[in-house]
Amino acid sequence: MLFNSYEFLFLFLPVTLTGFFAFGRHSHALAMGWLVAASLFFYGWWYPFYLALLLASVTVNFGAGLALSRVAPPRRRHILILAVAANLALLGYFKYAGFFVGAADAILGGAWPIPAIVLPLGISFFTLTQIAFLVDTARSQARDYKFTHYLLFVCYFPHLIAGPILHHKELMPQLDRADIVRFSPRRLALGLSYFTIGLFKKTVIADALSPYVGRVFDGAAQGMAPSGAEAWGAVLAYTLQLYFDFSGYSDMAIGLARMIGVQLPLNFHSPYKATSIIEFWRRWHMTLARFLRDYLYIPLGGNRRGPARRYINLILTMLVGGLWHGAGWNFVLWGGLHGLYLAINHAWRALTGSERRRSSMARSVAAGLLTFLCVVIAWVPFRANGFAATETILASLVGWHGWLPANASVAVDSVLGDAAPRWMGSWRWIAVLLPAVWLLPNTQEFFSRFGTLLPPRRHADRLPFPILGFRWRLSSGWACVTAVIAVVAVLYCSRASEFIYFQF
Amino acid sequence: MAYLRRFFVTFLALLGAIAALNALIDATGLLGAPLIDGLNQVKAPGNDRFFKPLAVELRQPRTIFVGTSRVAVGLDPHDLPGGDAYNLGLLGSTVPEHIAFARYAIDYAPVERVIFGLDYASFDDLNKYSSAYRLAILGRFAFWRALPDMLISQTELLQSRVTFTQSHHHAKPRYAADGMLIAANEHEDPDPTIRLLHKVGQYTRFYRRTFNPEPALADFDAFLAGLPPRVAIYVYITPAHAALYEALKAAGLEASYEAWLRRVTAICAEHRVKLWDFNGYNRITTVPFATSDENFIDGAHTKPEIGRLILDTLLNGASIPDFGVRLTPDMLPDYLIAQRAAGEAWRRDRPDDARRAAETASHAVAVEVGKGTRP
Repeated sequence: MLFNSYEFLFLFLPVTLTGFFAFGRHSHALAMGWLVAASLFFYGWWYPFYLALLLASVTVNFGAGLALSRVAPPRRRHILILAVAANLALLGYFKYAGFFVGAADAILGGAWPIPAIVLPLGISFFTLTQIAFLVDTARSQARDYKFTHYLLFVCYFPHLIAGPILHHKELMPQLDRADIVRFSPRRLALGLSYFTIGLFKKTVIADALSPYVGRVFDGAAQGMAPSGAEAWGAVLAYTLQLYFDFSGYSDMAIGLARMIGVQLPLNFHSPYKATSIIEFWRRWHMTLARFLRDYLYIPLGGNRRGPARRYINLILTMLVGGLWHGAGWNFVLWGGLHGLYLAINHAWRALTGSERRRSSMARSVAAGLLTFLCVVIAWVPFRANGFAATETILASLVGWHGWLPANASVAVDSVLGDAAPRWMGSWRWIAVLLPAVWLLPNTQEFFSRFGTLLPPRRHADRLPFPILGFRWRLSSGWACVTAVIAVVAVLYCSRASEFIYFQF
Repeated sequence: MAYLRRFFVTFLALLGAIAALNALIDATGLLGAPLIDGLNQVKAPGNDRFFKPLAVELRQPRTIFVGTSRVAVGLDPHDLPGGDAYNLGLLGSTVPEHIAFARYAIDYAPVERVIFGLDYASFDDLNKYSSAYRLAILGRFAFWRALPDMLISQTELLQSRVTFTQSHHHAKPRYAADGMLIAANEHEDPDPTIRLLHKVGQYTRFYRRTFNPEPALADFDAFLAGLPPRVAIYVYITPAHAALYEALKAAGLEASYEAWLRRVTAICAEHRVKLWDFNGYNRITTVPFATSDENFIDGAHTKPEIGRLILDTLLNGASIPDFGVRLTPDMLPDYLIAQRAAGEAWRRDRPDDARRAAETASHAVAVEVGKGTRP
């Protein structure tokens, strides 16, 4: 079920909330049970068969967690290795079997059939979450938890399919709190408004950009070579689409959780305002970056074994991060690029000591633009279907196929038809949205007067034009404004499309 | 609490007003709102992938026409007695779409006859589904699940505006209630030659892509194999003007087209389904450019009068001289040889027409820039 579907908005959500608060008046456990049932229904709506897979995964991992917490440390290692291997095997089969068989075919010249496996929704997210739980249990950092709480920690519908990637310490203690099952108008108002902003970002902005992106990237995959203007328009449109799509989803997840008093961690903090790649990864998909740091980069040795090893660890971590996003070489390339960026950024800092120096405004703007450009270039392989399409788009970005469509060797319009939007359309959106992501407060900052997110909260950025730093209030005026935004967002639900991160 | 009250009152009032307006205008004509002259009597063209399957569910036809715009504009359900036919032809559609919609109609209406018009271009594996195609609409309780789209969607709000404007100006409707597309692809140019050459250029640009018809052929094969016994199917290859063959030639797809024809013939023969070819070189498709509007709207789309001949052949076995050939695997090799010869004869007999078509196709290839629509 999609957050931006009518069945979710007008049936599932009202019924779930009403049931939750109604049960909560009688029993905390009953309310939690209702929430578990609702979350499982939410997941099973898409493909009931995989509900069994999810439940099996949760049960096995909970059992492994129990075993880990009850045996002596020397034996924990064996159980942990076994449990993590089982999780990776599950992920490997459903997500990477086709990729590895295809790679083996290509390298060894074999002709093994590539299995056609339907990827279970959110498998990367719920596998990662549970691996973290197991590792922490083995380190004696996780308490004994109730099964329903563990089930909810993994399956809680706001974050189940596309994150934020939760840490058990963040969610499970909250589920014990007595007050979350009590109805609070203030929390509902806050959650509803936060959700509305996310819904608007998804349905009105991200989905509107999608055709401009698909037209050029899909055309490139079919052998068409877009002009420079088309390629830049599509790549920038994708840069914005991905941000509004994924941060919109995260906002919706945070808002949904907040309606019942659960706080989720921040996942996006104006990533395109970053002035370095290091900072970008502190702002983009923050919960994934945190996971990769804590459970991969640091265990690999982090920065403790000298600069050379640090750079290798960074690149390795980002390569795995790339592969986590998708079973394809394009994602590996994207991860590798970001690993390289991070290594260069760290090396530069070590060389110049620039981390300790205060930057001038001009320097910050230049650094911000360079960072943005690097990120945009890396999105090309992330979105393109294959290396050939990546190469075509990158060549177009440097004007290889002419700068304007009239000079292009093959016009994409001739293939996709008049129904395809014109390239100028993407630039109109870019002209509005790029200044918006650079100059306006993000959702978290917009709601900064209220405790919506888990600590540590990020400080609001200093805006170049403070007049634009408006904040949401719990007032009648804002209620009307938010309602109008909600109506517009609902009107655009009819062109419902899946969230980009569902595929990961 | 005051915030929530204000939020929900504003939200529900606005959404309710939009729903009421859309229900009153009823742009799809599926809600059954009364027709009021000047307000909603001329429905907006709309998205055929959206309203046609729902109309099938509501009208419960026994015969459906399936195919691309050639079917949508070329076959008139009125030509079948009984008034229980529905034209499910979809603009710019592909075979997977045809099959998905035909299966839906068979499952949710008492369909007994499927008349399936094939078009080589629709066996395109690169654009499997149109962006307008909404799979979610198909299935159980489709009407009820589509209801929010008809009441509270921005698309429907725009359609309501178009319906109101068209009704206010008493414009000509684009679709008949039985799904037939009225006067599609009417190019602005009144000259039939220009309209036809425009199509040649458009098809050439489309054919410039290398597409693989095999996946769609496999889908078609599976569709025929899975038809319930109550359904009789009639398959034909839709006619286009002979000039459009120049587009195939210019794109180097003649061999691919013939291979496709062989595969379609073999599939139909395997399932004991009669296949008729109304395309190729015959008295309808080789009409001179200057008078091509006798048979064609624009060279790719025939007029309903031609559709009447096709239906007569398919359903009544009428023998129309030099129009419509029953294809079987045995006769196909000779037929293809005869068609190649007929092509040469056409180029010889109509040298000016053939030259202009070939020049247009070559030009479309050479310039490689255009704004052609998907055929």
